[in-house]
Amino acid sequence: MSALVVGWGNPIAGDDAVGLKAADAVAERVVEERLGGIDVIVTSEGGLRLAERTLGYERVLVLDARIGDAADETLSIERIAPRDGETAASATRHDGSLADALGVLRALRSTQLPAEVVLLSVPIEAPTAWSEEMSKTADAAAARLADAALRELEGIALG
Amino acid sequence: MSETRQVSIDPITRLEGHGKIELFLDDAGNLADAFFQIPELRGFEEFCRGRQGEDMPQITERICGVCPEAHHFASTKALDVCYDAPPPPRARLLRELLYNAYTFSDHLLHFYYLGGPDFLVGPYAPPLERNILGVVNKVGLELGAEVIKHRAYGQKIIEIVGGRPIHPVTGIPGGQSKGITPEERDEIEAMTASAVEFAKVTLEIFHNVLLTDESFTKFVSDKSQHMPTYYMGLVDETGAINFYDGEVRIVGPDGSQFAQVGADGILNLIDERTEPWTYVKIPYLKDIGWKGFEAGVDSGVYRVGPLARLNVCTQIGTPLAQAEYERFCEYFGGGPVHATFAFHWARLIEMLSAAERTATIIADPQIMEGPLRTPLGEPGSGVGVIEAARGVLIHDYALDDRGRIDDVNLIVATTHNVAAISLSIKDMAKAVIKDGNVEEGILNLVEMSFRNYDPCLACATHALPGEMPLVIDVHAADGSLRERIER
Repeated sequence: MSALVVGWGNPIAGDDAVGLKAADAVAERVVEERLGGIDVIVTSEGGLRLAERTLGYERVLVLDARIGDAADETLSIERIAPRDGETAASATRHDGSLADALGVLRALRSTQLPAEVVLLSVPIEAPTAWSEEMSKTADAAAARLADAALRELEGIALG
Repeated sequence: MSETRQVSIDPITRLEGHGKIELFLDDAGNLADAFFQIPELRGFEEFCRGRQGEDMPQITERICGVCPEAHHFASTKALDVCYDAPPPPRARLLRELLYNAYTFSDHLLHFYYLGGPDFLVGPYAPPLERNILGVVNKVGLELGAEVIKHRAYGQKIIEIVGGRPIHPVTGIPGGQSKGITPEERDEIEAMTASAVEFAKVTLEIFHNVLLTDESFTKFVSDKSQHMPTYYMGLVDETGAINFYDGEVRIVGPDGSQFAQVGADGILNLIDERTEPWTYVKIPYLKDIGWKGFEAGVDSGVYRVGPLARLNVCTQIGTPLAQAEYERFCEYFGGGPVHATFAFHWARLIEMLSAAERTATIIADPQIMEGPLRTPLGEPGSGVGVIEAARGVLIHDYALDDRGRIDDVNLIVATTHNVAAISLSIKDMAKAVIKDGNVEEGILNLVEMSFRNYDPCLACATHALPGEMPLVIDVHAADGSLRERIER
């Protein structure tokens, strides 16, 4: 079993970096506990590029932010299924959502698609300015996100 | 009482940059005007001020989730100038190698995944078929594997030269931080040879499937979709296209040269205009002046990107792409070509040229020997200009005496094209909205009109929901919502 943990977000857009910070925490634990079979990356890339990064892994965890009520401590866990079609219905035509991008790769008969892509996300307020600082609320959310990711990874690590 | 009605195409997008299209109808229900908006995060200049200049290539590449390479090297080039440290030949070759791999990969993505399905499958095909799956069904399953393979090749070259798989880190003021090993060179050489062949195959598909299909050619030949504007792009000393470096050349609607300047001269040629409906400053040619959202020789509106680059160059600079460029010019009866849908063909010519260029660069022995960096001078000011896949990208920095950012201004490709995109949307909307009737296909047709430019809206964040659906709101003359079209 090989797993990829992706911290997804923008480090210069305030709380949008919550997934990156959570991934950093996961990476520390992976090193400390010498967990095998797990790669951790952080990225600001769009959905299509990210989907290509997942090829060859059996399981992928994506740690991200979603726009919502930051005071809501609900952590969302959803399985991302490759989605066929509708990729033309987009405002930005040189990118797509992760589900669309995985659908593209499946349509292209990629033999390396991960068996499972899990998206873990926490709510943030929509950033309105550039910043490398996260709010305290987002800091706490990043810790919850990292813990949830590590729970998801239980049973995957080769030790 | 307003005498216009408003049609809004308003994407409910992920936070990472979203656009909005505003269509205004007159009392008769015909299009009065159209505008393309790009809301954006504000305060980037303030965010950068006081930072060390050498941090900028890593900071600015986070602006865009699609083309970090363009920001990385526009920034690095600006710093080269700030420190009066032009990169030595080896470093320049390495940068150009990575950059052409990025251009190849980005154009490949657009043709097969994004823009191409409109025509390979058909602009009026159901959305569920008008996608990559439809493309594979049309041109063959084996092509799918080739698309994935060559996208991976592009990313692999970027990783080898850029120092890491995501977000390059090797561009530094005055050069590159690392070279490549002989083994890496051999690996890249094999990939570039394959990329050239795949680009040729892609152009064959374009000729055999698109140029023989009226559903594509009618958009190319439709005069209502031709827009005579000025064009801007980089050319080298021979007049050939160069994605990484060169002088900025601007030609008029008749093809005559309007200006050719170095990077430091470009900002003297353009001015930026603000509009109350968008945060984006709209650039135009200062000496021509702003005459509103109009095309023509008397309007300062100009275009950048693949079509613009083909219109400003006198040659392509690589043999196979040159031959294709000549076919392109012959098809249109010479240049400049104003057919907005010709962007797609231009993009593929560039894809071939980029692949050829990578093959040439990797075969150059200089890429393996010599210094990687020029010693830095005293910090100052500098402008870095580069051709992002979708057009001219400008980074303009002023450093203080300790090398910290004192001032910064970025003009990205889609910003150059905002006025032209608005015009293209207007042209298309005029054609499809008649007497208050909004055709069912308007959503995709309007999308197609701005998809030509491959606009970059993905320049902020990556927060969920990660969807970018379009919604068209059709408002009656009294402002009430008459109908909504969405999917």
